[in-house]
Amino acid sequence: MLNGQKPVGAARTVYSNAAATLNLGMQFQPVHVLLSEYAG
Amino acid sequence: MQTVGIIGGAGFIGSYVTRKFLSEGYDVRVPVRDLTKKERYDHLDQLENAVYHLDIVEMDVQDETALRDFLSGCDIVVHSGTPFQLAVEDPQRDLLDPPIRGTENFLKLAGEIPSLKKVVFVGSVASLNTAYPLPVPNRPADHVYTEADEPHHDADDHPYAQAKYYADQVVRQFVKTHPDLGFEVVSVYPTFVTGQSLSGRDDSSSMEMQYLFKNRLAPNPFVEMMFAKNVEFAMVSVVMWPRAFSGPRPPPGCTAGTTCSPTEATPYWTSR
Ligand SMILES: NC(=O)c1ccc[n+]([C@@H]2O[C@H](COP(=O)([O-])OP(=O)(O)OC[C@H]3O[C@@H](n4cnc5c(N)ncnc54)[C@H](OP(=O)(O)O)[C@@H]3O)[C@@H](O)[C@H]2O)c1
Repeated sequence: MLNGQKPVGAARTVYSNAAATLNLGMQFQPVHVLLSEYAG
Repeated sequence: MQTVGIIGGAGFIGSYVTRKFLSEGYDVRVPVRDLTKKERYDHLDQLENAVYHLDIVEMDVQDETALRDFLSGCDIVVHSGTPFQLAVEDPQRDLLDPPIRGTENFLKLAGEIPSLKKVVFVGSVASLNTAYPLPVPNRPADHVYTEADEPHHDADDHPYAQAKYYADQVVRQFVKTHPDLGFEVVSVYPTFVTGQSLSGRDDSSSMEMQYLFKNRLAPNPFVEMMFAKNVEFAMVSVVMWPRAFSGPRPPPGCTAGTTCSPTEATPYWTSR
C-alpha cells in the first residue's frame, strides 16, 4: 500500500465485478495504482 | 455528433462522467437543480471541449415537463442524479422520493424519445444490500456477492440505501415488463467512490466521508458503526494514506481534532 507495507489482513473480493468485465468489457486497475496516482 | 445527457453530471461522480464524454467528442447536456447556484457547476466550464459542446440546463427529475425537454434529442443518458446524503431533515422527501419518483418518471418518458439508444443507471451496492457496508445477515462471511444474489432489503436500514434499492427495483421491473425496448439499459452498482473532486463543492458525501475517516470523527451512529465494526475500506485509507485527505470542509458540527459524539436518541439519518 502507500506506506510501502503489505496489508495486515488478506485481501478478498466481497462484491464481484466480473459481470462488468464480461458484459461491458471494463478493465479494472488494482486499487494501489489509483491510490498512488492520487497521492503522488 | 451524438448527444449524451448526464443527470447528476455536476456531482462528484457525474463530473468525471461529464469530463469523459466531453473529451471523447460528444455533445453533453448536464442538468442542475438550481441554475442560480453557479458554484455547483462552474467547474464544468473548465473542462476540455466544454466551450462548444457543453450545455447546462435547469431540471429536477421529479418535474416531468423539464425531464421530457431534457431527454429530447439525447442518444445516450446516464442517470447519476440521486441525492447522496446521509443526514437529512425528511427522509421521504429528501432521500426516497427523488430517486424513486425520478426513475419512474424517467422510464415513463424514455419510451417517447426516438433518438434514445442507451441508458446507464448509476445504482449502488446499496441497491443489492441495504445493510451495506455490513454483509447481508445470515449469509456466510466469505460470500462473494454477484448479480445472481437476490437483492437484500431491510426497512430498518438507512433510507438512502432503501432509496437506491427501490429505484433499482423500478428499473428491474421495467426491463422485465418491456422486453421490446428501443434502447439498451445498463445498471452499474458502485460501492464507495471517493478520491479527488473535480469541483470545490462542499455538499458531496464522498468528500465528507474522506474528512471523517481521516480525522476519525463519528458524528452519527452510522459512521460510528463503521469504525466500531472496523469496516476495512475506510480504515486502510485513513491509516495508510493521510496525504489524500486534505481540503474538504468538516461537516456541520464537526471540527478536526475533536470528537463528534452521536446523539443516540435521534435516528442517524436526521439532520445534524
Ligand atoms: N459516491 C459514492 O460513493 C457512491 C456509491 C454508490 C453509488 N453512488 C451513486 O452515484 C450517483 C452520484 O453520486 P455522487 O457521489 O456523485 O453524489 P453527489 O456528488 O451528491 O451528486 C449527486 C448529483 O445528483 C443530482 N441530483 C440530486 N437530486 C436530483 C434531482 N431530484 N433531480 C436531478 N438531479 C438531482 C445533483 O444535482 P445538482 O448538481 O443540481 O446538485 C448532483 O449533481 C448517485 O446516484 C449515488 O447514489 C455513489
